[in-house]
Amino acid sequence: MTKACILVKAVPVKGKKIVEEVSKISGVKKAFSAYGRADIVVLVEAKEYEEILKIVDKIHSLDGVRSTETLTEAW
Amino acid sequence: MDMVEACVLIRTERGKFVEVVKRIKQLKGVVDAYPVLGRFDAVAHVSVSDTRELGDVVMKIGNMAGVVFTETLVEVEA
Repeated sequence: MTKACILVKAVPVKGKKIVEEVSKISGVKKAFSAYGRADIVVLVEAKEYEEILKIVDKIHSLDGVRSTETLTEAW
Repeated sequence: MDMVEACVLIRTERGKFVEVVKRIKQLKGVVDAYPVLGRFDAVAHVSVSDTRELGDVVMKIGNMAGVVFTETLVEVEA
């Protein structure tokens, strides 16, 4: 099991929609809007690293997503 | 009950993160904690009943030996 914390920067106003969309992606354990460095925090749990890459790709394809930063579990 | 969720990003001293993560995991309110690759060294997922309690957890993490600084991303109701 590999875990990751994906920090998403989004276009203003689109945040709520993105959280809803992201929550539907399988492997996403929790997604919420936040204040600070990132607009949305996504906590992911996947079987393998490749799955996390796919989830990041999906998040990138969502309308309103500006950038993502993925902190993947080490060890 | 409404819970406050937060993601605490942690930077540790060189080589200390495994030890720091172990101690963070034992704190009340911490759902999950793991070492990460990237801008930070560890991440803690915190779920508490209010922001006061969140402050307590973050202070405890910040006061731990080996922790350089933390950054907390708190859930907001969108």
